[in-house]
Formats: sequence, structure tokens, C-alpha cells
Amino acid sequence: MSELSRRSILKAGVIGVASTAAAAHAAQSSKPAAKRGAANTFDVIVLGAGIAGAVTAVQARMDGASVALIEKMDRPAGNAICALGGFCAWGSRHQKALGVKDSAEEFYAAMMDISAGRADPALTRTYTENIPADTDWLESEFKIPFGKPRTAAYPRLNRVCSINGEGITGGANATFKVLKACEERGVQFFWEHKAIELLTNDRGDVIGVRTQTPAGKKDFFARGGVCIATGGFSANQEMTDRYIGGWASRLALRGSPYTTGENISLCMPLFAKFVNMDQFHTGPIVSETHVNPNEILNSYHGIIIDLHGKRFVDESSTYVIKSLECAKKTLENRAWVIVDSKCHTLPKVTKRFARLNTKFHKADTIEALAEAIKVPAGKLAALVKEYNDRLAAKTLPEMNPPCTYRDPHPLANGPFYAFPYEGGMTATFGGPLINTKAEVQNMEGRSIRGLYAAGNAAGGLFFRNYIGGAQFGGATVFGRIAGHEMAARAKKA
Amino acid sequence: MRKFVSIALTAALSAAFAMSAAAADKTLGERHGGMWPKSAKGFVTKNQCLKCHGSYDALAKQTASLAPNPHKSHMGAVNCEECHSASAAKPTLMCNSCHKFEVRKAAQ
Repeated sequence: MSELSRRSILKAGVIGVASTAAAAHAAQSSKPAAKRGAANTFDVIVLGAGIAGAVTAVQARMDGASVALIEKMDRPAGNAICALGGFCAWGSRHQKALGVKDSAEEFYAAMMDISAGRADPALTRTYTENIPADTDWLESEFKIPFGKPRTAAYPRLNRVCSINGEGITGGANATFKVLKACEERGVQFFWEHKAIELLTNDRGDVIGVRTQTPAGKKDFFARGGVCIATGGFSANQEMTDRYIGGWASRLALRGSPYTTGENISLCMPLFAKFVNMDQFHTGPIVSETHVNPNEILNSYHGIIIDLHGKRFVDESSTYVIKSLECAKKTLENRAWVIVDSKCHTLPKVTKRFARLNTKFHKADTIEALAEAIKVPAGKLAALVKEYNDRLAAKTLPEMNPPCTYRDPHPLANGPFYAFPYEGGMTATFGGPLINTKAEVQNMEGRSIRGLYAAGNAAGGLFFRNYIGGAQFGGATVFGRIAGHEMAARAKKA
Repeated sequence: MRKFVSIALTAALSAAFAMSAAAADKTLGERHGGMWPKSAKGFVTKNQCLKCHGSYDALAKQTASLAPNPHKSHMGAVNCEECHSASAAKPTLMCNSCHKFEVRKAAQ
């Protein structure tokens, strides 16, 4: 209390709010939206009710903090609930029980490799060290059901744990369970409260957040800190255009239409250090029905053609590259995956397409299939013949573009199938850089006191690509850390 | 008392769905009389609806015979008015802002 003279309290109250109001992105307000009192002061404030926000909030609560979870929508509406349920981990109880062998060094190396060495090494190390226990924590504490882990598209080891959706998506199932635990343990929820401005004191510490509600503006204050868990900016076309390019802003959204970059807007006035702003994850989608056709791309069967019957990508690439190339190399951002009846993922894919009422084509001959998908029959037949001939002669890599399947399969056993896909925007990787304590960093390399970020809102962990399920894993690891750190900071306040 | 009202209303609603075509033409607003919820200060109205219509879990059980089940999805507790409008007789599936579902009876 010795630091807080009457003069400095007055200064903090007036100038702290006024200085943030003067910043370019801040909302204009002539008076504070609420006085600081018991009803709007908490140990910890979390922004966003996705998996990162839910984990942060419940961890802080479990550490004894009073927690406000503030969400702009009336329900969880970000990317987490759209996620099928992959969770990237090693060394967890359920993986060991299934005989999966892995190591910290191999896992760390794989995460660094998939980012072409550009992921933040310290954050990647933190992920690696914490994910075994954090996976077990989700399982034991919240009864999140893990099924059989599956091989990642890269590097094809059993690191993609599979959260059982139990009738809904795995991501939604996990998020709802953790949110329910938040509710049961006394986290206070504020739905339809959109964070529009971070509140700071005279020293530049983040002390709270201003929100916009249907009934008016409302301020909240935090002793320990504010954690931004609002996701990335995949659904904000102005931002994806600005940071990545116009073509990226026109990709079909694979997830939420509400992940609109509050991680950027809120942190920009505080001179946070933003990293990897042009990086994002692409995947396949059928925008008409939002079915996810990844399993047909991950089958490594068949050939991929554009709407005019021309190949444009090495089919041995990951589904990320196949999606990106579809968006960049085809005029329409649309393609067909042509497979035959020997494709082992057919039962899963056809079932998923049927459940989401999505059309695909099946025909006894390549010519009949070509007619169904409106591609010149002779052209497709010639292409399939070239593929089969080169497969037999072991000259597939000499095709244009090369086809470098490690284990190629002939396209010869009818019936034949054509599944549509488009390149879609999954999630952005850019955001305010965090350190291993989930503290947001400023441009001078220091932590902005009182400001934390977790999940896709935070920058630094991902670059170029990620192992399937690592976004969920990252949200869990850094959400727990943020929750711990803020609860501890509140105790010292 | 509230539970009794909820059960009575649920029973009445079930009976209402089985009624004649003439009754089915009435809008939801008309069928609710003066009881269609008004938004309090601009916030969503679902909590008011649920005071009579039970919980989302209960609604999911009520529509369990439908595929997809409009009350059990990855969208969670969707605000009722996103599908149910006072000025319409039948709901419009909000899921179809992204998907293209045709709600049918689930296969037994």
C-alpha cells in the first residue's frame, strides 16, 4: 500500500483509463464504465470460453483464485468446438497403456522440424515437458475420454491422441466438460461481454478490461492478471488480408466465423511484440457443407486433379500442402481426389460425407466418373493410364508435377470415387509473443505485467504447420501455466 | 411448482405437435400468447425460454429421434431464437449457416 499514495491512485484512475482511450485502437469513452468494487474485481480475468480460456480459468480457480471468464458470444463459439478432437501428446498414461513408445527428445525434434525450425524453442520445450502430465490431467480431472491415438499425417507416429466426441465433435466435448467444471467450481461467467480495451495503470501494468455488453460498457479489474484466450484472427478478413494476403482472406473458413483477432486488437495499443503474423494452417474443406475431407487426402491413394482434369500437386504431400496448393494453383480453389475401391479410408470418408449431406461421385469406370464430375473423359482416362503405367515402371516421380508416393497403389479397381475439396483457413498462428510463463512480451523484450495469452491467441509456438492436435495441446499447456501464474500473482498483490 | 409447470408445458407441447394442420399454421408467437420472451436489456432470451422448456439436456432427449439432433451438437446451448422465431410456425435450422442438413427421423 505504501506505493499507492492518494495522488497515484487518482492518477491511475483517471490517466490510466484516459491513456488507453487515446490509443489508436481503443474505444472512446468520456468516463469510466464502472467503479472498481467487489462485484467487478477478481483475482484472475480470462477472455474467451474456448479450450484455452476454460483451462486457464479452471486452473486458476483450482489454485484458489476468484475468476471471471468473459466471453463475447452467448456460448462457446470459437474454433475449439469445431475441432474434431485431435490432441498432440507423447508419454501420456493412455498412450503408454496402448504400448506407444516415444521420448521427449524425439517429440521436441518433431515439433521443431514441422515448423522448419522456426517455432520458439523455449515454448516448444515447455510444451514437450508439460504435455504428458497435462494430457493425464484432462483425462483424470475432467473425464475427457481419449480413444486410440492415431498416426499423424506427419511424422506418422502415434502422437495424435483422439478425444472421443460422444456424439458431438471431440473439441466441443472437451471444451464443454472443462467449462462445466469451471461452473461447478465457482468461476463466474460473463456471456455477451465483448472485451474492447485492456485497462492499465500508470506504470503500464494491465489491471483489467473494458467490455461492451448489450446493456452498455462494463469494466472488470484483476489483481493477478488478464489472460487473452480469444483465439486467432482467421475469421477477420481485414487482418488475414493485411498480414497474409488477399488470397488468404478469401479461403473458406474451416472453423468459427467469430475468431476475429481480439488478440491483436487488444494488445496493439500496449506495444506487444507480434510474431509469425503471416503464418496459418490450411486444411481441406467443402465449404457448402463444412465436411472435413482430410481422411481421403491422408489416405495417400489415388490422384488429385483440378476442375479441368489437370494434376497440380504431388499427392505424397501432407494434407496441408495439398490444401494450400489447391487454393494457390487452381483458379476456383476446388479439386477432386480420385480413388478406387481399394482406398482403405473409404468407409470412414463416405460415412462422414453422408452424415454431413455432402455429394461425392461413384462410378464403375473412369470414363463414367469423368462425366459425373464434368471433366473430359478422354483426358482423365489418359491421366489414370499414365499414373498406372508409371507406377508399374517405377517412374511416378517423373510425372509433372512429380508423384512421390512412398508406397504407391494402382488406380485400377472399380468402382471409382471422386471426392471434392477446397483449400480452407483453419487458424492463424500469429499473435503476441508469450514467454514460458505465458506472459505477453513487449517490443523491448520485457513482459507486460498483468498480461497473459494462451491458445491460438498467443504467438510463437507455431510456424508453417503443426502436428495434428497441437493447437489443443498448446491451449492446455499454456492455459494451465497462465492460470497458475495469475493465481500466484494475485496472492502477492 | 416450476417443475410441474415445466412438465405440464412439455406434455402440452408434445400434444400440440400432434395436433391438426390448422393448429400447426399458427406462428410460435401466437401459440405462446403473451409469453414470448422479451430480451432483457438486449441480452439473449434463451434462459427465459428454458425456465419453461427445461434444460438443453431435456430438449436433446425430446428431439433424440431426429438426425441430426438439433438440440445436441457441437454448437452447445444455442440461443433458441436462432432457430425459433416468434413470426414463424416452424424452426429454421441455424446449423445450416455452415452445413446443409436435412433433419430426418434417425435410423433405428
